[in-house]
Amino acid sequence: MRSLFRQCFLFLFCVTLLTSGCTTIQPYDYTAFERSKPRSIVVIPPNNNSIEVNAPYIYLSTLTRPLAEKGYYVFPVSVIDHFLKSNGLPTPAEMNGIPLDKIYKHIGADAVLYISIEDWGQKFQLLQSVTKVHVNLRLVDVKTGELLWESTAIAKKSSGDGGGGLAGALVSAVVTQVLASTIADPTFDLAREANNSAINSQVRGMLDGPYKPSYEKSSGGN
Amino acid sequence: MNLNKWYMLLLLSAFIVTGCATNKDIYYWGEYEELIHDTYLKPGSADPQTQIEKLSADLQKSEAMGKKAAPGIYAHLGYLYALQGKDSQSKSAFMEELALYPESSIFINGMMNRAIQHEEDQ
Repeated sequence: MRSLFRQCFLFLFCVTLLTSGCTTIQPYDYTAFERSKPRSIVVIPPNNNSIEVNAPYIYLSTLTRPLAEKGYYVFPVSVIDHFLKSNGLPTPAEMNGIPLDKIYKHIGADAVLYISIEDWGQKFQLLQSVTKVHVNLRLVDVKTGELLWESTAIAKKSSGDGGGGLAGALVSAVVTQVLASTIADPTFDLAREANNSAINSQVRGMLDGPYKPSYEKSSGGN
Repeated sequence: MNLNKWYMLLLLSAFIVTGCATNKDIYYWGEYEELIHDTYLKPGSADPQTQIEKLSADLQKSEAMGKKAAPGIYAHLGYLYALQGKDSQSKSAFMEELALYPESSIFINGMMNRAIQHEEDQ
């Protein structure tokens, strides 16, 4: 009985070793992040490298919540956008070029989140439609210009998900193509999902900010 | 009888688990994200007055839940009042944001100063 238990334990141990060996993701180097300890983040309207014209502002609307829930003060994205526009920067491409000292002087943020959208939207194929969101995020210290954190927020969903075989795929492709144009925008929810996995990742996510109840304990914010 | 007990236990643990899941958020968000989305993508549906009504309702709900207003909500509200030319309401919303989040001071004070300057110019 005892040796059986032992064998079992050994087997489990080996399994753990093997699986953890396979899935090890390089942990993020948080040295600069921990040194900077930003309290506030300004989100600059995204640069768009995708063919979906509306992608920057759809994406902009999904970021405040996860960043604030992570514990940061997030400047009101739409007010910032209007502020930049009325100060001679009509498009995101130009907004991404503002010097950091000006951001500090007029907005007073500790960190800037720069975004570039690489791929966005729904592509229709014969039997299904694939919706994809692929965005690169870079958090930069306003005073030093140092890169604090970077990540890729990525999520994909195909209308075939959920099964039903060929017949199910046929029907569901039609349904999403019809619904997408009239009712809901699937990229909105998908972007939320992508943000959640990028920002809250255990090994490569963002560190907790000062408004997170666990802040004092976890990152020694003092 | 015994089955009943198990059932109760299951129900209780379900309550506890769901309770934890819903209370995890620091803030109550209401329709803020949808409003921002609609401002840009369905411009007709999110004029300042509509936004003010929805945000004010969300702020009341948030207060009823005992939660602090989320970052940027009062600043956004202050901006909307300014668009309508309601200076005193705009100022009090901005002051609220400042009080809740001192991180906003440079930006909010800048906006309030420009508003004062604008008034003096007229």
